Order: sequence, then C-alpha cells, then structure tokens
Amino acid sequence: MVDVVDHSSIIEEEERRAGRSSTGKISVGKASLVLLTLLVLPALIRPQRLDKLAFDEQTLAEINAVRPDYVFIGNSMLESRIDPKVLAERLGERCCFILWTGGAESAWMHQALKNIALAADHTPKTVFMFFRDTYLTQPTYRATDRYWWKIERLSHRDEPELTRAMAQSRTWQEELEYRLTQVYPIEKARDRVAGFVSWVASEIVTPGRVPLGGQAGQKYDALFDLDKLRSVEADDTAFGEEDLSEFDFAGHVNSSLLPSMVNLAKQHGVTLVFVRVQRRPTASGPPPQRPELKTYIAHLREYVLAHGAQFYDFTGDPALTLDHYNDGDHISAAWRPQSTELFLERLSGAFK
Amino acid sequence: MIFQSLDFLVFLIVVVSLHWMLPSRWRGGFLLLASYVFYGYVHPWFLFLLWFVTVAVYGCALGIERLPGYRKTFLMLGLGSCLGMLGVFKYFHFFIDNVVAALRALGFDASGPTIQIVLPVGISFFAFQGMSYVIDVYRGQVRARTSLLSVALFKAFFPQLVAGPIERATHLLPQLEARRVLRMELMVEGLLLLVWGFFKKLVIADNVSIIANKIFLLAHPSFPLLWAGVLAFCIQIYADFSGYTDIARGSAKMLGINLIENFRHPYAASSPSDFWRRWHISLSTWFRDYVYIPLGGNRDGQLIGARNVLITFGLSGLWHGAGWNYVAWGGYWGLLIVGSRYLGGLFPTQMWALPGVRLLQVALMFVITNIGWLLFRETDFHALLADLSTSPWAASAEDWQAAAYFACLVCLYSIPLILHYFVDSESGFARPRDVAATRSLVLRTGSALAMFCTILVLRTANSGDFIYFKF
Repeated sequence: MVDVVDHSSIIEEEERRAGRSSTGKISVGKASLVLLTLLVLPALIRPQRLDKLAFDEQTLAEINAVRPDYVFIGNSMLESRIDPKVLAERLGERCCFILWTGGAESAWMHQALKNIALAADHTPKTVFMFFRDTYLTQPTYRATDRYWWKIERLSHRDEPELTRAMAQSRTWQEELEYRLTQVYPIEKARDRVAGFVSWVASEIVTPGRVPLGGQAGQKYDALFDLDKLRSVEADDTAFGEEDLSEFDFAGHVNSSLLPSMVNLAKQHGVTLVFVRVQRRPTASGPPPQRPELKTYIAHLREYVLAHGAQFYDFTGDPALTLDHYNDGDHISAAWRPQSTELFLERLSGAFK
Repeated sequence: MIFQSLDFLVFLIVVVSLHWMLPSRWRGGFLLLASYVFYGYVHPWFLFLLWFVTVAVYGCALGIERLPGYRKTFLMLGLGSCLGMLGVFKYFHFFIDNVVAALRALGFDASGPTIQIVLPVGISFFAFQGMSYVIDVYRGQVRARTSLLSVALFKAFFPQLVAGPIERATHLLPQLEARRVLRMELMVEGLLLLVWGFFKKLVIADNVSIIANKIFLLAHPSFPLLWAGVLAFCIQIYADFSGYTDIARGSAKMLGINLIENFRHPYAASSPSDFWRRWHISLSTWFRDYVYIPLGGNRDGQLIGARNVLITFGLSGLWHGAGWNYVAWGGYWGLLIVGSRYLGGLFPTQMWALPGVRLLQVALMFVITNIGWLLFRETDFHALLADLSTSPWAASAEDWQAAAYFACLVCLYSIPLILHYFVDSESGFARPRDVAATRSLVLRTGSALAMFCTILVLRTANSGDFIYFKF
C-alpha cells in the first residue's frame, strides 16, 4: 500500500495551475523588505492626527441650570429603569438630573461623577450609580474606540486617576493598542471612514437627506427600539467556561476607579449610592448567580459601606419578574414608570 | 487562541521564525508543540480530547493494517471513538431535549439532567479528520503511520485544527513528513492570503454582521428588513468562513504546507450541485466520499439516489449544529439537489448555452442560497415560521427604505469580494495575462498594503468569533 498523493506533485500541480515555476530559495532581504513595507508604510501614511475631543461643556451647563439634589449616573440599565417624568412628579420638577449614555461603564461613570456631578455649581445631596455585576472594578471594560470618546468628552487634559486605573488594568494587548492609537489615532479615522461608507449608502437610497459627516444610519434607530427586540436570555444565566478572574474583588479593587469614586464623594460631602440592577430573571425566580459572583458582591458591599457610601441590590426583589423585562437586562418601556416607583419605594431612605 | 487576536500574530511570527531556524528533523515536534499551545491556550483541558482522538485513530489505523482479521473491529472502534466524542460533547443536550420533549408529548412528566457540557471548539472538524484517516487506512488509500508524532501533528496542525479545511491524510501527511524548504514564493503567497483572510473577516464579515445581528434581534422584522438581514448574513458567513480558511492556508503556507482550497466563489454557482462544489469543499467532498458513495451514490436508480442525497445532506446539516434548523437546512439543500437533477433533465441541453441563461441561473441560485441562510441563521423554529410567513405588503415605506439602506451598505462592503471574483483565475473572467500581472511583487505588496490599511481603519471595535468555531 502506498500513499496516493505525493507532496512534490501537490506543489507542482499548484504552481502549474498558478502559471509559474519554482522560484528556488527565499531571499531574506526581499522577505524583510516586504514585511517592513507592510508594517512601516501604514504608519507613514497615517491619517491626520486628531486631538482630544473637546470637554462636554453643554452637559455641565445643563446641570448648572437644573441645580439638582439627586443625580443618577449609568447606562441603558438606568435609562430603562428610571422615568424622569415620574421622578419630576414625585420629587419636584428641578430636583433630579439623569446622566446616562448607552454602553457606558465604570470609567465613564467615574468621569461623569468627577467632572459633571461634583463639578457643578450646586453640589447634589446624593448621587446614584447604576451598575451591573462586576463592572465597577473593570475600568477597561467598554473603554476603547467610541466608548473611549465618550469618556474623553467627560475628561480634561490631565486626569491622573483615570490614567492610573487604565494603565494598571490594561492587558498587554490593550496597552499595545492604546499606545498605537496614541501615535496614530486610527479609531477616529475609522469613525470617519465608516461614516463615509454609511453616507454613500444613504445617498444611494435617499439622496440629499443626510449631510456628509452626519449619522446616516441613525434615522432608522426607531425601528430597533428596545420594545421591538426579541427576548433573549441574559448572558450570565449560562455558566460557561469563562475567565473567573473578574470575580476577584480584592485583586481588582485597588487598580479600579472605585476607590476614587468613594473618595470624591466623601471629599464633597455627597452620599454615593451604588445600585446594582437585577439581570433578567427566569420564569420561576431571580436570575441564577454563580457562587463566585455572590462572593464578589458581598465583598463589594462590604467595601462600599466601609468607605461611607451606600449599597442597594435589586437582585432577588420579588417585585421584579420576567414579564417586566424587555430584552436581556432592560426593563420594558411599558413598565418603566412602575420600575421608577419601585426604586423610590425601595430607596426611600436616600431621599429624606 | 483565536486568529483575530494580537496573541495569534505574535504566536505566528514566533512559530514561523523558529520553525525555519530549527534543523529539519526537529520541525515536526516543534510544530506539534506549537499546535498544542494554540489549542490549549484558553482551555488546556480541551487538549485531552485531542489526545484521545489522536491515540484512538493512531491505534485503530495500526490495528487495521497489522491485524487483518480484526480490520472491521478496528474500523468500528476508530469511528466509534470519534463519533462517541461528538455524541457526548456536541449532541448530548440535543438528544436529551428531544427525548424529554417526546416523552412530555406522550403525557409523561419528564425532565432532563441539569449538567452543562461545554462544546470544545473545532470538535467536529478534528473528529471528521480522524474518521477519514481510519477509513482511508481501511480502504488501503494511505499507509497507517507508525510514528505517533506524524499522526498527532496531522490531527493537531494548528492552522486547520479549529475550523478546517478538513484535510485528508493523503494530502496533508506526506507534506508534514517531507523535508520542507523555505521558499520566497510560498512565503509571499502565505502573507497575502493571511492579509486577505483578515481583511475578509475584520472588514467585511464583522461590519456586515452588525447589520445581520441587529435585524435578527427584531421580534417581528418586516419582510424587507428580514431579507436585508439575510443578505447581510449571506455575506457575513462567506467572508467569515472563507476568511478563516485563507488565514489558515496563509499560515500553513508560511510553514511550507499547502492546505486544500475550501471555497471557489460559491455565490457564482449556477446550480445547487455547483454551489456545493464551491462551498466548504473539504466538508462536501468528505460527505461525498465517506457517506454518499458508500450509501450507493446514484448507482441504484433515481429513487435510491435521491434518498442517498437526502441522507447525506441531512447529516451534513446535523454536522453544522445540534438543532433542527440545521437539519432543515441540510434537507432543504438535499431537496434542491434532487429537484434540480430531475428538472435539469426536462430542458434541452442547448438551452443552457443561450446567452444570459447562466447569469439568470446564478441570480436564481443566489436567491435560493439566501433562503437557505435564513434556515441556517434562525435557530428558533417558531421565529423561522413567523419569518417565512411575513408579507411584503405589510411593510411600511420606512421599512423598505431602511432595508434598501442596509442592503446598500452590505453591497458596499462586498465590493472587494466582487473585485476578487473578477481578477481571480478560478472565476474564468480574468485573462491569463492579467492573472500573471497580478503576481508581480509590487502589485501584491501594494494590494496587501491597501488591505492592511483598510483593516486598521475599518475593522469593528469588537470582532466576533468565527461562526464556524461553534461547529
């Protein structure tokens, strides 16, 4: 018995099909030249260097105009749970201020606390921070690309705490990418080029509707509102083989922005309340939580209380059942007013 | 380790450099070690499965050759090891869920076990490769290797380990055992394939996947939006999977190994059979050689031939995933092939040579392929039925406009795939002189450079896993 195909014949066949002959041994010089060209040229023809995004003075002006006693900071978890109309009815027209942005996590929340809530002319009495599970000790989570720009919009030139937390928490890959983007702001060019592609598509379909540089796809956002999406199980209900290091509270807290948050609140005499949202429950009860997460939350609560802040966990609240949820962890738009009432009831002590 | 990570790039540079620096006799061992690092990088315990299959097929292949009286027993043992592993890790939940559902339908109060089984990446690929080795030895098409290192490297060779191409022993083993010479041509070709593969994945697949994922998240997508989403998925899955294959082939070429082609412009297919000669070639030829032909092929008349096609495609669907939608997808293709064989015979042969007919065939095939992708993408059976009953008349003007916008965006991202089709010698469009011109070092460096810059600028913030990783 012999093998049917012989190696040399495979190579010869491929070369014959490609219409060329064997070129002999490699020239190291040529190979290096190709490699160097590939690596160096993109750097030389880099897009125009773009500066840091300007600080969001408008939001600061807005909070100064409202002069709120209560500030809410968070992402869509906050937005889908708290209805500003209900807050206004129950606490007064100019009593609350909601600072939220889609996909924001702890680095953005830290900057919102430091540079908006606590930088306002009128210091609020209480700041509520809405968060999910372990994100308060993961400053690099959602802190790249467009998420980073959101952080940059709430940052001044010199942000030592943010810089320190990022440097201590980045992996070598994240650090390398960060350093590269410091020299070549690729992600900003990316936004422009991707925006241009979207604009071309928009021009083909509806000519002249969106100016060049405008957000072409945004006009269809309403078609994808949360209440139009199908229900999906929360990610953490399926316990897979994921990285467990995120549940190590002691290992992450000092490199995170959590110490800075509690210290800033203490310095300004503001009560900081961390509100943990409940992820999507199951039909029969609260969402399943892995033991490592329960331990993490216990340590987080202990830390927060020890540093003069408050902690409230909605996980396991019998009033929050599956039918109140929309997609993954968002509360349905229809139940948002009741969700706000529930919040005011459960945290009534914070409003005295 | 995933291809689209910095870790992989560093790994590849180190492995390629060390591989060529080492004396020839050490290269096999070194590649095996590198392959194990690659596979066990995130979940080291997955390696036990790989070792299990390796030892099983190595032992069974030797048994087949050395103990002729027990050939069939060793064949069954080898196949059983691979299929058993697949059964436990891939189909256990599917089987239990269906048994529980059937018992409940019969009025029994049944519930399944609550154990969670993690699906190891690439399990279907290396199980099928293992089976092909044992069958080829049984058929006398390849010698059973006495060197465990050779078999282990054949099973674990990292570029093709996780998502193919599903290599045959007749093609890959002799290359792994031969003394390899570092050649400029293979190196440049490998680098180009690598960049093209990354371009397809990071620029095309990841960008259009945003559209597909967005639309498939809708609870009740309108007719035009649904099909814009299917179109996006159609491009995504091709760019994603063929991108993976190109990265795999490129990496292997840089190590002096030629892996087989897995795609030949599948969306230019003019019939269902033609599509399967162009799409995931290593899998379709696997099923042809190890399932369809042993079942009898089309030797025993049209009816038996049709049955064999349906069984083969049903199994091919199940190979893709433990879900009824995949079986339906396989069945759909099986019916199309049977139907096209029958219908094809009804038309005079001269008709196919008429001008414009091929273009019409390709366009029709593209629509048919997209219907198939809906079955593939929509894993929820009730949602699939709802999707199929969506009426175009119920859609609003805004839905049509949004769908046109998303479809346009998908087309824009697909331009490089279309250009590639026209310059590729395989397509039959490019003249030999043009194909030769594309081989100039300057042109190749220039196009690689352009692709590299585009990757930097247009890659998405979060690149998703390759779709075929989960199979």
